[in-house]
Amino acid sequence: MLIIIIRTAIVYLLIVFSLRLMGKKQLSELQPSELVTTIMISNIATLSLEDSTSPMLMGMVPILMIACLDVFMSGAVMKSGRIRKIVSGSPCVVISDGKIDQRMMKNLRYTVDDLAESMREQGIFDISQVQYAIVETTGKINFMQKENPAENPPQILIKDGEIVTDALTKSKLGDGWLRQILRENHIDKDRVFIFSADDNGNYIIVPREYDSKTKKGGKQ
Amino acid sequence: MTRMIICAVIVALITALGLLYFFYTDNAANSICDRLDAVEASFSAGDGEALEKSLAGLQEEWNRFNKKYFFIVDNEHMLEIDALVARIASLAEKDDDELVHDCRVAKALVRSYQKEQIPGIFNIL
Repeated sequence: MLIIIIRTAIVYLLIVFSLRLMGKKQLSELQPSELVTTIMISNIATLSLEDSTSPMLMGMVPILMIACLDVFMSGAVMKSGRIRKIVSGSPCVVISDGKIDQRMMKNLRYTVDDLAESMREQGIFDISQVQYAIVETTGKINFMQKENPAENPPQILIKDGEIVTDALTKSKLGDGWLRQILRENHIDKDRVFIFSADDNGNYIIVPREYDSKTKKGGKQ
Repeated sequence: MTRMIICAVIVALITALGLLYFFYTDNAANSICDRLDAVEASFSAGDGEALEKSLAGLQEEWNRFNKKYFFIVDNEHMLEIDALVARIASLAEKDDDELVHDCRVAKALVRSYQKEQIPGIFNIL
């Protein structure tokens, strides 16, 4: 019994690791941990159903273990940005300012055909019309066309009360601007669920927890 | 949070069940091996009364393990041991020397099953 519990945990972690190693191209809509859960649970359920000579408990224990591990993993992902990055990865920009980041495409093992196919799926037939293309953690590519008034897509600068330093460095706004806006809105960064802003200074603040009030603003 | 607590309880229950089963298997295997030793010793000594008593003890111990834990025992050894225990009783009635051989085979199988339950690195991998 103990062997099955340990094996289940090891196999689960191994598949999560393997899927992360395989990269985003292998994933469609599910997050890696969700995909692992789905695959493993369906396989184990089938095995325990197929082999009627083996006790049912041998199939139930791994399924329960996987479901519990998935909940624990989801909890850890929600609590820690670092774990979220390891388990789910982070979105990657493959077209920035209309320029294709070939190194990033190579890292993600995306071919030009894959990119073109995703563009066509979203009704874009001219690559020169694309301002930004972002590969999401689910493997889906989202495009922003050049007609969009914002030069750069809005970036999430505060996530779950934590300043996203990478995004803040990339944006032209700076730490001083962010703190000023927070002061103006009388809100501490710890109370911010999402703070998103574009380079023109248009921002949106979603307060944390059960305060459903959403404050919107713009460059003064 | 409730989901987390439920999951923690489930994992704790599964782990507790696993540990309980592990320790029970270990004890039961030792007890069955002791009974097999007793059968072999009384047969070799030619003590009919002791042999009858030790055989009854062996069958009782084996049946208890087999009946109570059929829902988690998944091993081909179990069927083999079951057949051997039945054969030992029959050989004892016939006063056949093969009984010693069968006792040792059964013991080896029980020990092998006992070892398989230990969550060591080789068993896990």
